[in-house]
Amino acid sequence: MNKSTNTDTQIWTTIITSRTPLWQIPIDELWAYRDLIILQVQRDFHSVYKQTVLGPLWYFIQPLMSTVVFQVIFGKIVGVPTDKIPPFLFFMSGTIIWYYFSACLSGTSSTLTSNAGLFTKVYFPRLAIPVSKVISNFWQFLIQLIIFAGFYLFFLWKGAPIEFSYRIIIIPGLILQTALLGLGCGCLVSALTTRFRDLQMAVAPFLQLWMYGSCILFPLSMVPPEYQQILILNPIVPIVESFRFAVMGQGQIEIWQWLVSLAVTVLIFFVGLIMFNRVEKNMADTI
Amino acid sequence: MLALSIENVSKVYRLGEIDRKQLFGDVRRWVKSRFNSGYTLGDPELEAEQEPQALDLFHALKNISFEVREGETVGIVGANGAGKSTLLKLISRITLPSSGVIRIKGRLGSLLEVGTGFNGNMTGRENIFMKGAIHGMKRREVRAKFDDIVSFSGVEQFIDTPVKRYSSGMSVRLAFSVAAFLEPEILIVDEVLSVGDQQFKDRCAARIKQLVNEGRTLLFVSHMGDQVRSVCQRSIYLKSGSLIYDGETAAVLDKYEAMQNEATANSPEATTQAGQATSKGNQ
Repeated sequence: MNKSTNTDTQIWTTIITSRTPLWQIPIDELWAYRDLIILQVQRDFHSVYKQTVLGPLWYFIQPLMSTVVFQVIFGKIVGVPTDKIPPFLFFMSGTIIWYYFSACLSGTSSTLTSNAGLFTKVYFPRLAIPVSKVISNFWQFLIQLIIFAGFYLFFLWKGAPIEFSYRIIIIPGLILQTALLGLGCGCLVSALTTRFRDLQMAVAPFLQLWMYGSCILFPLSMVPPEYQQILILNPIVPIVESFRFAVMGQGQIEIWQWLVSLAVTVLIFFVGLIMFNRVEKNMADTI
Repeated sequence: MLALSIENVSKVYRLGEIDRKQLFGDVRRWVKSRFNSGYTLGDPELEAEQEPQALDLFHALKNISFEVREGETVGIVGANGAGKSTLLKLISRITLPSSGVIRIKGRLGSLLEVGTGFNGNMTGRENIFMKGAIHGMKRREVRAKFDDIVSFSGVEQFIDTPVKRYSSGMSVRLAFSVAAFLEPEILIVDEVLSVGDQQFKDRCAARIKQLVNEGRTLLFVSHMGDQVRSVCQRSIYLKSGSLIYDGETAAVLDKYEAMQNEATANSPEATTQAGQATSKGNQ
């Protein structure tokens, strides 16, 4: 063994120890691997319409179909009030936000288990995979948002009781919050799934339940006041209600309710990332 | 200057399966550490669950220390289950050491079982870019080396065909070709020279020699003495997770081969048993 341990002049680029700080989010590493994220996003985008007949048209069909179904069942048959918002816009706004959130969550939740083969062979910042999922789902959401904007302008032109105002400037913030929430939840599920595969089975039914408690199909104002306080803890509720309020100027949402939702989002985001970082480091041994 | 320093590194695996018992164990341990009320004291069943028993632990690496200078080529030899692959996994950051410190200078590229990591639905071209990106290459870098990679692999004709239609030899060759042009400062090679036909093996060996001549640091794992002898100046001999010899390749290989012969003479199952132990520990 050579004795050249003049570590004063020695420069190291990587130091690996048994423990790393849990809260450390490798932003610089993600930036260094940005080409990987771009390629993953491109691949997701292309793979959606590879070997399909209608191709990218599915981006349009999916939300429209759900919106029409919800409008018929909940709007016409059940008769859910929609805070004076045209039912079509009411259901569509909820649907596209919910789909973005649930696509982020379910897309990232299988990260660690479905890429296990890759993760046990080569090192790269694991977070690149969830981040690329959130970005590729964002493009899908953006297309749906544009369709929504088309219908919105149509209803505005027809003289529906909605108003266009400066409030729409908060929409990018709401979208970012939805993305962070989806990423945080997805990372949390992904981390726990490496040990307990049960969660993989639980994600789909749980998301379904969550949707029913998220004011997608009914307005917050319809909920008895004593339950509203509880429902606010579901961070999606204030996001959806704020979106409707910002775009259409109708509905009932207060700033403190949104602040609660923001706090819950930040909490879930950091807990999710910490858990993900923790599990990812040693997952090659537990998977 | 050093390229790599391994200081008192150990790796311990827990044997057995993860099941329902472990969830209860986790919850109990967490509750105990959270409240630390000591209510489990005196309950032998709970106490037994709190720490994994020594019997359930497998020491894949025991207190390994060595250093590698820049431009040095080091062979790592040892029987199956000696800890070679574990050591490489730690250096390539696939898993963390249980204790000890590993220090690395420069970009590290590892060719660990190169055949994996391709997406069958993507074409050869798309996979080259994706694999390059996974190994930390920029798209610009891959584009610059693209023609070299393709001609090295010899699959020019099929480059725009989905990889799922490739023969297994073709996809392994393409995978190795991407890896061969990563050009990291430290290159880790694990048994990859066993891929492809003789012609491709020769081309791989030539490429590795070329990378060494360019002054890159190389860690080379093989249980075939001839390959190590032809590439490495220095070698390290691992046995049952411990570093036994570190020195000139010729001397280390003599000792390795002598001990191998001795082991096979004394008990034919000795090596296979060691191999089973690691595969169990890796699960």
